[in-house]
Amino acid sequence: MGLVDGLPMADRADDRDGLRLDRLHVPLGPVLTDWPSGLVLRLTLQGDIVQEAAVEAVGIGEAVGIGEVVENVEAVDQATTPPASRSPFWDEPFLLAAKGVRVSQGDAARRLCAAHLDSLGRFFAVVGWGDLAARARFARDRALAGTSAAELTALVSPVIRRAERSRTLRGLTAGVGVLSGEHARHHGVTGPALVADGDAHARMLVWLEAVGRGAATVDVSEALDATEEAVGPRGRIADGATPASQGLLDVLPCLLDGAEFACARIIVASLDPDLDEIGHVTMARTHHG
Amino acid sequence: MAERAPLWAVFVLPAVLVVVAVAVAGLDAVLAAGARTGRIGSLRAAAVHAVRPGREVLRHLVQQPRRTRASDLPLARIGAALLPVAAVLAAVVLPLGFRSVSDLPEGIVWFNAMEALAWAAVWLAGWGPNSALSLIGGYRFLAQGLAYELPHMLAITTAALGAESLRVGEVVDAQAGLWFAVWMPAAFGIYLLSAMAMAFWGPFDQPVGVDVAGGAAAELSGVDRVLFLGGRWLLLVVAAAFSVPLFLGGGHGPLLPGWAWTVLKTAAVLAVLVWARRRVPTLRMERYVELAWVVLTPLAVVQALFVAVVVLNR
Repeated sequence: MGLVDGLPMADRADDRDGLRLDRLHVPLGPVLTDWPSGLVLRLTLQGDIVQEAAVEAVGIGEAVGIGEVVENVEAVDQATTPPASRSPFWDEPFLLAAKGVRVSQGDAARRLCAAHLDSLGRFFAVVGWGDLAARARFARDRALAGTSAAELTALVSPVIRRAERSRTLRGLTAGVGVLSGEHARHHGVTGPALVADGDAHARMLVWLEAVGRGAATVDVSEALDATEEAVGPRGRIADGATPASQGLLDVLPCLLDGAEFACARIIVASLDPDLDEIGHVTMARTHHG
Repeated sequence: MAERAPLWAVFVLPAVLVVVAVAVAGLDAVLAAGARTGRIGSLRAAAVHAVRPGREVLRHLVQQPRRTRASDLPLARIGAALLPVAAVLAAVVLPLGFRSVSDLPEGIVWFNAMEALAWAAVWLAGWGPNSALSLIGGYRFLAQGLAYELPHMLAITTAALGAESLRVGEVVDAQAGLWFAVWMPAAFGIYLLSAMAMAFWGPFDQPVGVDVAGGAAAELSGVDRVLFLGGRWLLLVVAAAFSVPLFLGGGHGPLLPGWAWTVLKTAAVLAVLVWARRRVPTLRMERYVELAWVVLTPLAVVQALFVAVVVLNR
């Protein structure tokens, strides 16, 4: 492999049609617009087709990669490590309830609703629907600011209606990143991605449905039942257990294999792993020995 | 037939195009800002948003340009500069009312040839910076070209067929009675789609998409960026404006003078496009190409056949 101006040249490998083509090694993340922050995908691209993908998470004490890459980025400076000791924002009410703190059902629904709206904002932005992304983000901000159920429902229902009814969106995202329930369960996925049992469009529908349901119940003041198993925005939350987002990271490489670049972005956005969850659990494990 | 415009029109044309492009970009910025709440807001806020594209241009012009390593700067520069040049050259055959800068005998072919220069421009701008994401943007435009160009050519050929001439002035004259959009609706619809596709704008913005961090434009900065993204708006304006002489009767219309009708119709087409883009997500070419080849191309052929039969029996 030659060097040009200190940069390695693209090497060659067989592509899926048996042609020998240039391949580029391109890291995506940890920061990129509308990308789960902290996630690094090491892609091997031929043209804009993903040949191989390896998952890493930056700034976490333990490598979470699977497949080829097991090593974490070694050069992560301790000072730049995100404050993983802080509990992951989107899971907060559920974690508090698990610790025995009284959390109202409304507050939990509000956080869940906002978390899905946040994911939907990224998803719509990645599929190139800026308007709907802006609407979803506005609704998320209002939800977190403590708006009433009536106002929140009025904000989210046009978003839900437009996204559900859009035949273009269905045509564009159907068949992208199909994750069967069986496959999902095998990798320990527990959240909306398991419920969806299908492609990126199905996962979006699950989010939309949960947003609609959550928005109607943000004013409920009864306490969250701590004995029941908590299910956060990414899936099951249990203290000390493998975080739900780990399962999402584990399924990524096989879903990305052979995907076109734009599809790869849609797949990542439709799973939307929350790397705070992983950092949190890793830290907790190190502390408890 | 269209009259020849005076020589000074050559210098006025680019200025007029830039003014229209800035106005359209301003309108788009206002709508984009209003998308968040679903309301445009006060007139004052709208004015602030409307001048945003202008402010962006100034910001890019004073900004320190950045370069990527081992980039092919001349190539990227040629690509960026080619886009506005192609747009202005294509506009040479655009009649304002019944006068165009040059009413070439093969005006329609000229327009299509200049528009195809954008293929080279986007590819060069994408290849030049030696960056994977902008390279992907470049690839995408070639795929897009393959998808939209076939139905597009058939659509503009249909208009030429209806007028039995490739001269834009004669196409306008042929619509003194009935607009082509009325009896060639499929060709008109396909043309509007390809107008957006050739300017890689709106639902066809994949070559400079958000998911590739700006694609072909990702690494362009300073004047290059202004030329490239500005050229894209110019191309959109020219492509939309060309639908007026082709399908909407050019300067024909009651009461008002010809130039006023051209301006009104062009504004209406642009407004429709700017509105429509907010309603749909970005079309990925791997999916769109199926629609383009399986549905739009046969549709365009049937449309051309229909027009040919009508013309033969006239």
